[in-house]
Amino acid sequence: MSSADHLVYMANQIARNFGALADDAAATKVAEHILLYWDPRMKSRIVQCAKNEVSELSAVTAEAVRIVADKTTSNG
Amino acid sequence: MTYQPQKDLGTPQSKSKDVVTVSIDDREITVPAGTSVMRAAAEMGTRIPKLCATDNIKSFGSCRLCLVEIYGRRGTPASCTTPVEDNMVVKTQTPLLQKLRKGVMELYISDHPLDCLTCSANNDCELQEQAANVGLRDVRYGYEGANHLGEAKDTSNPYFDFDPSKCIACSRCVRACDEVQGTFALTVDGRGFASKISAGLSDDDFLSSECVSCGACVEACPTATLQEKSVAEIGLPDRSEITTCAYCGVGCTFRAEMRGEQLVRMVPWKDGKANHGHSCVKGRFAWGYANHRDRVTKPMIRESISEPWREVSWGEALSYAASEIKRVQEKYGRLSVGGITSSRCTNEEVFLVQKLVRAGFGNNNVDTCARVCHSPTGYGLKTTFGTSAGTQDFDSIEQSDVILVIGANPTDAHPVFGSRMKQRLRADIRDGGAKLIVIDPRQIDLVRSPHINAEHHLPLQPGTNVAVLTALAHVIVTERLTDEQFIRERCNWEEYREWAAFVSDDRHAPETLEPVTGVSPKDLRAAARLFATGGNGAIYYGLGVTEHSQGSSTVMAIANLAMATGNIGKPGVGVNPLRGQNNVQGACDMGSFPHELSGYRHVSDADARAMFEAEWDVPIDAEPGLRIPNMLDAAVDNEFKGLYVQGEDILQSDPNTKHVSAGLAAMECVIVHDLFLNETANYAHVFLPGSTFLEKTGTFTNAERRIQMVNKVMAPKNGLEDWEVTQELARAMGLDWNYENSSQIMDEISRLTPSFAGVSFDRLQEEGSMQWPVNESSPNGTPIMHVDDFVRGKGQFVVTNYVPTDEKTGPRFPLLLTTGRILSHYNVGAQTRRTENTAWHPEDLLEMHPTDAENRGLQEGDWTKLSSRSGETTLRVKITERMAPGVVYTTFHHPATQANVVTTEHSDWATNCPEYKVTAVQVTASNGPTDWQENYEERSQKSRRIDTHGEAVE
Repeated sequence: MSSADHLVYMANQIARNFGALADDAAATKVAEHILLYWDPRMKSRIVQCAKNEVSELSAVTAEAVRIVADKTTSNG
Repeated sequence: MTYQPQKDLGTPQSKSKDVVTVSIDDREITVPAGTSVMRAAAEMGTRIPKLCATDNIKSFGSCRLCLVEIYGRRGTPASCTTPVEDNMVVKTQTPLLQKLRKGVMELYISDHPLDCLTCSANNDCELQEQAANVGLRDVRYGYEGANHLGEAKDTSNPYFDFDPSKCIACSRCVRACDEVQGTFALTVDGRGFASKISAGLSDDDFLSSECVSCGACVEACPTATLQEKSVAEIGLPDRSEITTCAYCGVGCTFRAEMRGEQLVRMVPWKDGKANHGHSCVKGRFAWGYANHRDRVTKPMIRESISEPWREVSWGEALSYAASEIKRVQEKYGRLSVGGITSSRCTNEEVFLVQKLVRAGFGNNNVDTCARVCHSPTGYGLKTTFGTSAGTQDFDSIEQSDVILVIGANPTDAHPVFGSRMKQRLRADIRDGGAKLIVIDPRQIDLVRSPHINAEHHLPLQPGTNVAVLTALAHVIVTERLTDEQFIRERCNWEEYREWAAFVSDDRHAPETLEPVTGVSPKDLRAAARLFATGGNGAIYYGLGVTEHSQGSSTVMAIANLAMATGNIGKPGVGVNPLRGQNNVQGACDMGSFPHELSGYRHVSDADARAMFEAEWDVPIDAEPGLRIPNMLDAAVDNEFKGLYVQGEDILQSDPNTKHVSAGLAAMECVIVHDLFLNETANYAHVFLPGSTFLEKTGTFTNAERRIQMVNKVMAPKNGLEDWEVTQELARAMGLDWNYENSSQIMDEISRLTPSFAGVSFDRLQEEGSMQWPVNESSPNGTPIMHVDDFVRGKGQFVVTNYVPTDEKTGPRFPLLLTTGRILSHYNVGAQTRRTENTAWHPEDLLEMHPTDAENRGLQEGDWTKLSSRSGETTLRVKITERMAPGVVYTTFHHPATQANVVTTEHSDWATNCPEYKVTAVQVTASNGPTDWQENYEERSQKSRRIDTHGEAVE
C-alpha cells in the first residue's frame, strides 16, 4: 500500500469506527480526531488526496477532510 | 546500607481491626486480634527461636522449637500457631523451654552435615543461628545412625541448587510454592524419616518440573538446601540497596545484595508495595545480561550502514550525532527528525528525551514503545474517565468478588501479580475466593490450575473483543442488571441512554453475534450475570485488548462495562490495564506521545504549552507530531530522515519488519542508544552505549501508577547514566542543560506536571513509593482513582461500534495467528536471551491445535513455514489443545524467528497501535529457514562489524 493509500485507509477506518453515529456527527468526530492526532504533514496530505479525487474517501471521511481543510486553512 | 537480612516476624500480619493486649516476658504489647504469640513477641523485639515459620506463609507448627509457656495453660504450645488473647501472660524463655528447645535442636543437628565453615550459607543460616540461640553444645546421639547426609545435589536449575543433605524438612519451600507463588510444584515425598522435598514427580528435577523458578522456595529455605548459585560462587553480600525491577509493569522492588561492586543476588523486598516480597524468574535471577559480553560500552559511529562501526570518544560521537541532526534539519526541514523514548528507562530519562525533541529538535515528533502496546489504553481511558491509567492499586484485588481477565495472561506476563490474583481466586480460601471469568482465544493457565477453576472461559475468535463486550453489555442492560444509582450520580445520563439503546439492539445479542465471536450465548449470558451481580467486579486486561484494529474501542467498551455495573471508585473493582514494560506507564506520563505534554495535556492546550515555554524558554509546537508508524511511512516517502532511539528495538518489536527496515534504511541519521547492538542498530549511524537499571538513579512508575525509586548500585560500565548521555547530546546541539543529578529532573517534572506536583526524590525515599496523582488534594498519593468524581467530571459512555478487522482468513491464509509472551522471556528478549533463561525457551515455537496439525501432516517439533500477506518465516511447531482449532500462536522473543516479518501493518483506528493479535496465516511443512531469514542473518552479521584497530571484527 502506498503511503497516500495508507493515509486514506486510516481516515476511512476512523470513520467506520464512528459508524453508529449519524453522518454529520460522525464527520465532525472524524475531523476532530484527525485534528487532534495527525501531524501537519499527514493532514495536508489527506486534504491533498481529497482535492485530487484520486482516492476512495468514504462520504463521511470526505466531509471530515473538508472540515480539517477549513480548520487548518483558518489556523494559517 | 551495610548488610542486614530482612526482618522476619515469623507469621503473617493479622488484618483484624480489633486489638488485644498481652504480656510477653513481663512487657505489654497491643497487637491486632489474630496475631500469633510469635509475631507479637517479634514486634517488641523478642525473637522466639523458630525454624518452620516465616512471615509470608501461614504458620504450620511442625518444628517444635518456638514453644512458649502461657500462664493458666497446660503444656508448652507453639507460639506460631497460638493467637494472642486479651490479658494472656507469656514466657518465652524458661528452664523448661530451654531444655525442650535444646533437645529439638540436638535431633535436627544429628542429621545435618557439620560443614558450617565451608557451607555457602555460613553466617546466613537459620539452623546455625538457632543452634547458637538455644545453646547447643553437644549431640548425644552421634552421627553414625541412619541419616540423609551425602545425598546427591540437584544442580539442574541454572540459578539455584537443591542439596537434600542439608534439608530439615520444615516444608517452608513447599508452602511458599503453594501459598505465595500458587504453582504447587513442590511437594514432600514420603513420610516420617523418609520425607523428602520433591520438585514434582519422582523423576523431576528443578529444571524439568513445573517449578517456575520464582525463587520463593529459595527465599523461604532456612538452610543452604535451596540456595542461589551466585551465593555459592561469590559468597555472602556485605551491603544492600533497595531498587526497582526493570522487567515488567508490576514494578517489584528488590534488595540488590552486593559485595563491593559485584551483585550477589536480587532478593524481593518484603516492604515493596507492589510485590510484598515476591518475585519471578526474570526479576529475581535474570540480571546476568548486565555483564554479558555482547554489551557495548564504547560509543561508535559510521557514515553509512554498509561500513563497520568505529569506536570513538564520547565527545566525538556526540558532536557527530548533533551535527548530523542539524544537517538533516537544514536539508530536509525542522519536521524531518524525531525521537523515541524508552519504557525501559527512568521517568527522568524519558522526560529528557522528549524535552530534547520538543525543545531541541523544535517539533513534537516523539513517541514511545507504548505506541505498540498500551496507546489504546491512553486514548480509551482518557476519553471515558479523563485520565490514561488504571484505576486501582494491586492490593485492591484482595477485595474483589469477580475477576474478569480479558486479553491478558498474568501468570506469564505479569507473574508476581498473577500469583496475587491466584491467591484471591483459590476456592479453598475462607470465603471461597473470587470467581473468575476469562475472555481469551487460548486456554491460558489461569483457566484451570491447582485450586483454581474459572467459572467461565469465553474462547472468542481473535479480533472480536468489541463484539463480545457489547454482547455482555447487552445482557446486563436488557436484563436490568445495571447499577442505575451509580450511573445517575457519576456519569452523563444522556450519554448512558444513547449507549444503552445501542447495546440493547437485537443485533448485539449474544445469540446474534455467536457466528462472529464463536462464543456460546449461554456461557456469555451467564458470565454477564455473574459480573453484574457477583459483588465487587474487577477487570484486568492486557495486550490482547489493545493490539487490535479496535484496541481503543475495546478499552472504552471495558470502561463502559465497569461504569454500567458501578464497578469504579472503591477497593475491589476497577479497570486495570496490566502494563507491559517496567516504565511504560511512566513513559506515557512523561509526555512521550507526539500529541501530549507530560501529565496527558494536549499540545494544543495553550496554558499547558505556556508552562513549558516559560520553563524552557523556547516555543512549543501546537501541532501533534508523528507517531512511530507515521515516522516510518514518512521515511519511506523520503520526508523523515533522522531518529534518536533510546532503549527500544523497533526493528524487532514493531510489525511488518520489511516496512520498518525500509523506513530505517531511508534515514540519513539513526542514533541508537542501547545496551546492545540490537536489530535496529543494523541501520544506525551512531551508537551511544546505555546503562542498566543497576547503574542509574531515577524512578519507574508501574501499572498501578506507583512511582518507585531506582537506586544506583554500581557504576555505569559505559561511564554515564542514560540521562547524562541525553544531556550531553542536548549540550552538543547547543542547549544549555545543566542537571547535576536526576533528582533535579524530577523537580522539573514536578513543576511542570500537576499530577506529580508533590513528588520528589526526598519524598519517595521517605514514603517508599507514591501513586500519582500526588498533589494538593492528595498529598500522599492516590491508591484508587475516581472515588467521588471521575477526573473528567462525569464518566463518559462511548458507543463502540464493532468493526471487523480487515485482516481476514481465506483459502490462502486460513488460520489466525496471535502473538504473545512466555514467562521466562521478556519482550524482544534482548535481556533474557542473554541470561540462563534460555534453558526454558531456547527458541520461539508455533502453538497449534492437534486437528490443524494433523490436517497439515505436522508432528510435534516439525519445522514449519508460517506465511502471511506480509511475509514468511520458519519455526518449529508445538501441538497443544490450549489452542482453539483455526488459531495459532507464537512469541517474538528471538530475532532469528522474525515473527514480525509475518505481522501486518493493520493498526488500531485511533492510535495506530499495531494489530499484532490477528494475522491471517498459512502453516505448511518446511525444511529450513526462509531466504529472508538467511539474508537477514548475513546482513546482521555484516552490520555488526566493529573496526577497533583499523580492522573489522565480528
